[in-house]
Amino acid sequence: MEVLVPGLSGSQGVYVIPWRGLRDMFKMTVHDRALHEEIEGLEEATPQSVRGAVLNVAAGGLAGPKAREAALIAQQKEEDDKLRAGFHLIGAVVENLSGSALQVTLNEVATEEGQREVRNILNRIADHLGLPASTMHDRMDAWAGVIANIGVPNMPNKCRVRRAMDSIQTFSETIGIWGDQTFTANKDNGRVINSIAFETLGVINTYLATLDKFTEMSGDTLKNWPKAGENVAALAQKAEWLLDGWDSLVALWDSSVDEPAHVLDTVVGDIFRLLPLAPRDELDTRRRERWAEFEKSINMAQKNAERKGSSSIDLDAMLRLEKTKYRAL
Amino acid sequence: MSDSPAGGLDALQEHLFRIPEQEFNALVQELEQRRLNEARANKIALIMRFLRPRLAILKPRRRMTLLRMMCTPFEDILYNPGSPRKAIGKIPRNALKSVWDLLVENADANRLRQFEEQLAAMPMEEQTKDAMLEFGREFWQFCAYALRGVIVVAEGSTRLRRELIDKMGDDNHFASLKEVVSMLEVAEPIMTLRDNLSQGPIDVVSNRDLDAIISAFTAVNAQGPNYQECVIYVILARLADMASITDVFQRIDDAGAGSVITHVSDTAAQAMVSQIEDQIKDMDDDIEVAPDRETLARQAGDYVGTLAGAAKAIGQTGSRQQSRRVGQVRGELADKVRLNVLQEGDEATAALLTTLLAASFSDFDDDDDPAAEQEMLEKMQDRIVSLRVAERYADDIGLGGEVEQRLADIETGLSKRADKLLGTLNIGSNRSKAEADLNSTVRLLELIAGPESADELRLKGLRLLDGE
Repeated sequence: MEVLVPGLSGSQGVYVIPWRGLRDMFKMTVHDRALHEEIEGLEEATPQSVRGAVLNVAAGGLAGPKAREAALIAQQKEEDDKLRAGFHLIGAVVENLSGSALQVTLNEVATEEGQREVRNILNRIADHLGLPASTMHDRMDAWAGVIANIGVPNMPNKCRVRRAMDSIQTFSETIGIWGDQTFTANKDNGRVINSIAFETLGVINTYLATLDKFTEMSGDTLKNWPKAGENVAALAQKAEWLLDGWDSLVALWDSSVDEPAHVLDTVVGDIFRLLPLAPRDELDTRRRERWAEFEKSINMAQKNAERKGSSSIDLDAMLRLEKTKYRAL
Repeated sequence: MSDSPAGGLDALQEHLFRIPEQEFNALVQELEQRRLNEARANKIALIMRFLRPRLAILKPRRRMTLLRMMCTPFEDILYNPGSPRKAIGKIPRNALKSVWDLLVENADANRLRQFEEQLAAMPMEEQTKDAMLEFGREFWQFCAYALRGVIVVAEGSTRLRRELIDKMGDDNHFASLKEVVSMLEVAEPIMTLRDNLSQGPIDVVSNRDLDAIISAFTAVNAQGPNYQECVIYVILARLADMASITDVFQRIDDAGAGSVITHVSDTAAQAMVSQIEDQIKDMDDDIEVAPDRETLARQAGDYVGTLAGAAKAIGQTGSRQQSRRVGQVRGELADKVRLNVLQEGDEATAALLTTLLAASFSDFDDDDDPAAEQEMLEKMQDRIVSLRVAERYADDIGLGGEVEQRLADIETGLSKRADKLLGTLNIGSNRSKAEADLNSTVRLLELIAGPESADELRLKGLRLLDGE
């Protein structure tokens, strides 16, 4: 695994630092060291697995009691999401395959009898699809696991990914309005952030729409699960990759909107520099040119913001970063 | 506090956005009227603070009154001190009523009535900025003339002066009167300055700001160098960090306009010292409302920085009496920090350390109260952070030793806890409980001694838990 650090020590290029070398190059807090170890121990580094590592370490208390509490709550929420996503997936499958004749309610699933009933319905569906019951259950479980953070369309309480998209939407709108109304240094950056967020949400939405098609056609999805499952997993992962990094920026903005104008302006500058840009090939061609411009201006901003010789950790920076960290969990 | 309006205010805040607009505007007007009553001024200011979110959105066009008109030039330097007092370059709102009464008593009554009628006849939509400036030009001169007369008479003899102070009810009100009159006498250039200067708090003074400041100094100098103080007061009120005014002076000098600021260093230093001293007085009250000790420690750090700026400004002119004054205020600040940041937390820290040391690590059970533990860790963290913040400026106010001692005591306590913990950890320990204990100790140690030794402890502990 490698880490990309743009413009290190004032240079033009992007440095590729091996994950293991990170600790020798930068002075890190204990929390960051523990996180470094935890991530190193991951089989595969995906946004979900890294998020899991982040929550684990924060829940351990190394970033202070507030971060610990926030991480524990976030872990609980992930569990809830998983359960609800699984439940609503069953609901969607049953509804689609019974021609809306049958519906599963939460109350039913809460009782043992209800669960048996749901199982029976699924068995009948398996029969109908020509699948052995056990295969059917395995596939449903696998499917639910893959979309645990995304859920299915029209859930009364959305899962994390869709929640995050809603907050990015609000963030994008408010920061755009800010850019239109303010006269401070980062005014134009506010507008650019708004455009980038808007485009990114657009790309994610196309992935989710395709993902939701699989739910709509649940019969085919279940029948062809070995292939369909791969597609579902790839789409879910792409959506998560594109969302990666946004939540902390949204948290930073949310916690700063009441600050005086000059502070908020600095925050917008920070957000701009940290903006996760989706890879250009994820976009359709007419947008790519604009994207290249964005990349250029973000790189410029990153270079201008560098301060030399700041390798030691100062207490204020550590506490400030922790605050945003736990807000974003 | 039985007479605290806080309970009612909570309710008010809840309904803040449900009050119909017309009633809300009426409420604001009523409150502003009552604010003139000295005894109520502070409470009203508190209520107004709660109304601010709605005020900010609604921005009710407040009806202009002659009193508000009189105050416009010095609006920047009005304030609500927590107790009856006055800082140089600041005018307490509760002094306004007695100043206004003096005006009514001493000004030409006919002319005053004419102003009143003229204003009343002006429909709201005609009260534009330009129109008000036009109106003010004459009115401020009129006020200044009448009130200057009162001061000249009072300064004629000790007895007359005493009489005026008695009439106004407060030494501070007389001092306020003098600053009010100065501001009114140069109201026009001050209004131009207020208009052209960036809204506060100003972090970085732009070139546009600098131009506005130089123009203001030039304009007031035409009436006399003493009026430079009026410009300084407005700048100080807008700056995020008062101490940066010395940089402003430097830049004026660099711009080749040094001749417009002949009387500034002394005045600015005096005002800064007086305003910090004034703010320090509220520190005892701040402790009631501060969310944590860290906030107080940082606040005190800002004061120390501003004092250093004042000392620097004084260093340029070299008045020994003023240097002594800075020394005094520094002493007062040290006392407040010692009391509110250092000693105030001593007992609690000792208790926390005892608890931390007594905590038995091995026998984890479900009776542990996670909320209490969380609170304990938060308190300890706040204590360490506030001490480390104070550590940065402790030497400047002669508290270096006292802060260091406290930090050292905590570090010793934490080291003992760490040793005791390491003695109990082994492969058979309840892993989640043991890691929680280890991590909380590591965390606190990191805050006090940095990541190296803290991480060493963590790794040592983990090795023991792994049975290595």
